Amino acid sequence: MIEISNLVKYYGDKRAVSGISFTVNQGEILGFLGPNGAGKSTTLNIISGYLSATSGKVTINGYDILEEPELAKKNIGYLPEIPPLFTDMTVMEYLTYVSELKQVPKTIRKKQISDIMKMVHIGNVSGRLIHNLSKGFRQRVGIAQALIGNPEVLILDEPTVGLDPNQVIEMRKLIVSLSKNHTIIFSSHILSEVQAICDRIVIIHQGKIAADSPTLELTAQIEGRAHYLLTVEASFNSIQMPLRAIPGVQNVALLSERNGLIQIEVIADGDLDVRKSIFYTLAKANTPILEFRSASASLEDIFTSITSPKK
Amino acid sequence: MIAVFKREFLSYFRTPVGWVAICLLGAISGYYFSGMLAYSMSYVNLAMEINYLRTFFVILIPIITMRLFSEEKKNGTEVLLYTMPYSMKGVVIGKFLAAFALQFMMLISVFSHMIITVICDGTINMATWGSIFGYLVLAALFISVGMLTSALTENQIMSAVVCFVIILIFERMASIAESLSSIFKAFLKITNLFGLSDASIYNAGEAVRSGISWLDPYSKTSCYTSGVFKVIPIIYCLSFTALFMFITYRVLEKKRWSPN
Repeated sequence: MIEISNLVKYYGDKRAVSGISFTVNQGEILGFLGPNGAGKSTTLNIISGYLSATSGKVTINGYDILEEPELAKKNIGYLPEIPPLFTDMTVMEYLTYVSELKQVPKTIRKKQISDIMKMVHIGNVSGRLIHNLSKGFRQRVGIAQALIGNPEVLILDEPTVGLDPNQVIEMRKLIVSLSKNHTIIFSSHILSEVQAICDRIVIIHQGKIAADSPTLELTAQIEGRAHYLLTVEASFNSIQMPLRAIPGVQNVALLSERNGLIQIEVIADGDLDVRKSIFYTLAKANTPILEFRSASASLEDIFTSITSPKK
Repeated sequence: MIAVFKREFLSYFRTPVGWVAICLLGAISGYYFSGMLAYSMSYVNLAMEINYLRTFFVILIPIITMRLFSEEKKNGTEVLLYTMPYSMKGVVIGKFLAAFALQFMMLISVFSHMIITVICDGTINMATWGSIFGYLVLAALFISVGMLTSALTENQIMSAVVCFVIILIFERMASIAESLSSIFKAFLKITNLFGLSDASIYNAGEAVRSGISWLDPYSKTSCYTSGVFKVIPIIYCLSFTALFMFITYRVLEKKRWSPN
């Protein structure tokens, strides 16, 4: 469906994307995950035909985005990071304009727009100026724009950023429902979000692909490590060695220190439950535990875990 | 092309730009027209009025063209134009036609003056029609300049200023030619570069002057003001228009293929 091979992009001297290759199969929801500045948006901009690549090739449904842009773009619906909305138009005017640009036949234009508005729940604001819409509605108008022309591929660049939690849940539901008829590339910097809805995850870090595997495999890999956050009343030096000595503990790190309290992070193997051992070790050292909770792995942890050699 | 034309043209009237431009030209032409009526009760020369309006290109054209592309760049809506199955040529032509249509609509005050003239038993001679024609041909040329400057920057003010300067250069072409020819003559005389006689230096200077002033679109299209239709000025203005539009197209397309 979408083939990306050896994509390289320079901004002046700065290398934003260095040699990315992956394939998206028909009907798949691909999660494109990476921290801010990893090159996600650049890659998506290149796939959608907005930016050129310094080198490399993108084909969509067999059409090269550079050589046959109009044919390739017919298959794409793109929602950039900032939805491309004309704030001086009403929602209806805007969607009509987009469907004219996408050359949707006049006979089905009206019906298609009203179907899409129903699908993304913006029917009740169709006559309002986009300028007066809230962020959530704007994002939905952006998605509606991408859906016009019924493209096979949807490219959504961080569609949930800036939405409140309810809207995020709604947006995820919408994306899942769209996946029945579309191939979707969905970018995000939130791991749990991608895990929840994507079939496959491509992780990009500093312009390179750090991982490309089905969601389940990746999740297993990440969950191979357990993270605990503790707040204790002690000095770091006095407890560091005993904690490290616990079998299964990989690393102990000091996060902060204030008023004689320290916050530490303990990373341990996932298959051994070290919580009891931590408790007894600290109790033996006469160290009160004020807080003890397990934390979810951060993106940075994932990068270190997937890029570090496996044991 | 039609989609972009429609959106651009209507957006002039969604924002104050279109209304302001029409009112501005209306006020200026109305002032001139009423002046003609007040000072020469028996004689109204509409060709002169339109000719006078040409001097306001330098202000009006930057106002109506500055937002064409820079605003889209700034708001991020240009993504739409790049990612749609829509040719960039259509975008350029559509935007050009929208600005041109607004420029045409701005002449509404002149048309009203024509109606008043006819009602008061005046005649609309060829010179008037010729002036309108010449006005529009020049407008097309300058709109394409403004469109290019707008495609080059995402700052509307910057676009307007550069467009203003370029139109000013076109407008002052005759005096620029004059001063460049004097500089050239003085240069030849002082350096004595080729050991030319005074007569030859004079001739060389004149050649420079006439060469540069040949480029003056104002004097080129002035024949229309007297009701004389010539083909060369049309070809001149339209080919420059096409050239600027083509450059605009290439500037926009660059983003799609340039490696950096």
